[in-house]
Amino acid sequence: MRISYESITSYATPRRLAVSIKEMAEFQTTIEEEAKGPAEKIAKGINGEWTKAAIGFTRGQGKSTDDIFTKEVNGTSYIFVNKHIEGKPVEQLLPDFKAIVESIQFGKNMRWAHGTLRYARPIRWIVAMFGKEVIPFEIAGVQTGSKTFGHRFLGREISLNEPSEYEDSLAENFVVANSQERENMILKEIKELEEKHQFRIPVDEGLLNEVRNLVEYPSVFMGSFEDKFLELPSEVLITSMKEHQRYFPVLSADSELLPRFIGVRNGDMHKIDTVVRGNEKVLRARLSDAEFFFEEDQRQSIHFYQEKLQRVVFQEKLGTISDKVNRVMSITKHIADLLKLDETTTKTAVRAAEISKFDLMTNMVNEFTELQGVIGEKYAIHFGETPAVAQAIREHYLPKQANGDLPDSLTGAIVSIADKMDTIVGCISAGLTPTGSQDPYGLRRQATGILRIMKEREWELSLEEILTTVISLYQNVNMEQQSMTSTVELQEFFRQRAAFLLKELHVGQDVIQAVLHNEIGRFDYTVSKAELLSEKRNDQAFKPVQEALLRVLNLSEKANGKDIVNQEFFISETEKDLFDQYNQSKNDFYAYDQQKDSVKALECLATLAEPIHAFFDNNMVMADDDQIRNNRLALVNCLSVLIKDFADLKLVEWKQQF
Amino acid sequence: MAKDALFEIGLEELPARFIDDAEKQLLNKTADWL
Repeated sequence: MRISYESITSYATPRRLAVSIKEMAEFQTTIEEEAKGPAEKIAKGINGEWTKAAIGFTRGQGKSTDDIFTKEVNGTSYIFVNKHIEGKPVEQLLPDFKAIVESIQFGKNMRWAHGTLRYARPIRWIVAMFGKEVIPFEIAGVQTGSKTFGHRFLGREISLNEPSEYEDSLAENFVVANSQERENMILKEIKELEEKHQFRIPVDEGLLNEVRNLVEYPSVFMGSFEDKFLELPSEVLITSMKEHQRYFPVLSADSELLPRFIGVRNGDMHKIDTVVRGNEKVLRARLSDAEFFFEEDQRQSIHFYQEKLQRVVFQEKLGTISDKVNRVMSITKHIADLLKLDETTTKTAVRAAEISKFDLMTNMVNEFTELQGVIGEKYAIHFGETPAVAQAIREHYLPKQANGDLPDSLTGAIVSIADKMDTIVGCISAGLTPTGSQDPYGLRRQATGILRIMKEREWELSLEEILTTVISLYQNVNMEQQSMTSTVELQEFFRQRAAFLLKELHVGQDVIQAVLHNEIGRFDYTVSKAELLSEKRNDQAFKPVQEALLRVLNLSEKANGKDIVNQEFFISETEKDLFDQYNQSKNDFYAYDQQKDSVKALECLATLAEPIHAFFDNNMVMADDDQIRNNRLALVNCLSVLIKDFADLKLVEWKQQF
Repeated sequence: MAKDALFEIGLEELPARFIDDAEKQLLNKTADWL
């Protein structure tokens, strides 16, 4: 709009969104600009007169041909006119601010009364002022004015004389309009309580952010609950306080959970005792429920809960949770076998898989769904399971977020992968592939979790080995829409996740394509190769090697799958030398490849550089003689296969200086 | 000549999770518009 100003400040509380603009100019900035017209050769006729094109252009700009001047642009002469755009009075333009208000997007909208506007919540008043004047417009039947409102209970209606009164007038009426200021007030009062009582009050950033947006005038208070509730798992207490009540838990100096909590009131300290008692009553009710659930749940048995799982559907096409558990047990056993684990560890993992979901049927998890796994671990111990099994039950849900903690234990990691693989393969086989905006089963996060675990664990196991097993498991399941294309879809789905993780590690897209051209393989090794190639891409010293290997890859396209090399058809020493070096390097390469030593593996390929250059410089690969030609192509093809087993180097954008 | 301007939208209580993003949108859209 070409409206100059000194500064803009925004404000937000639960009841208002506001923006204050200081020193806004009363007029738009007037500008002079050059309007470019047609090329001069089109604008002027043979005799130098102005053509219709020139006349039309000047008329469109509100000028005449007398105003035309010419200028060269990129070697071509064009006609121009100077345009003077006078700034309009800003007062005339400000009603257009209505469009900005209406364009704000919220997560969810609603309609109200008889209106058609969809907004987060009903609009009750609008202040729009420029100096002392009201800017007139209307939204959803609400006219603009200069009246605002203070705190819902402690404040009053405020008539503003001018914008500069805004923040102070609200403050006088118990509204702290600035979000950061409210946050600072809360933190200051929490700190004071910490110092006064020698407590520790860890402030979760997410909770603080939420709480400061629940109040217009924060006042911090401390409440307490009965000691007996400390018998409950700390996770239950903390979840109840933080997630359900938006309280901050209180710890002792030794980090022991105390029977206290910190709440934030939307108001002043008047009758704060009543507020504290009310909050304590609500929390007591919640914790009493939790106590009841805890006791009731532990009267039953794991078997009791397992039976119930048979009547809970996991997904319409994939059967019950009990069906899922059976599949996860099979996958767990298979992974344990692939990893060549001992019998005890395998038994632990399979047992953990078997009872991994029993806690979903408990009252506690029904009430505190976010504690699935956590409660499973605690109840498993109570019911006599080993700590290793219990830990795996909790850990099989990890990671909970994209960059969240991974399972600490081996059995936890195995069951986690098994469970996630089952969900992913099942859903995609059933036609539930995530789209750009929809991923209701969190398949992308789960696939990322699998790859992260495999990278951290550095197993001698490729993703494809696990995937093949799980796919074969599903081929035995009677599903309506199962199709062969789902295997391809699954591979591509995991490939995209692998590419995503590599990108997070700042690997370039070309190197990602190069290392993932064939399969994901052992992901930790794939990452190591990607990082090495990223380094070599810019390494001048690597240039001769890269050139040699690329010569092979370029020519291998003509090989058409030939791979039988017959030494009898060698003519030159250089092709014999190359073949000898290939055989030696190949053995070393696959040995290092097996050990996941990407540096040594690439060095083996590098030993081929000189013989390759000598081969190409001294031999015509596409010889006239069929036998010699096919033999040389077969040699090239064998080399190509070796190189591509590391990465498809043709896809790398080599950046060394030439 | 210059003057201060003020725009405030008064609403029923907004869900806490909407507020930060809405404030940011209002600020950015106003700045872009000016």
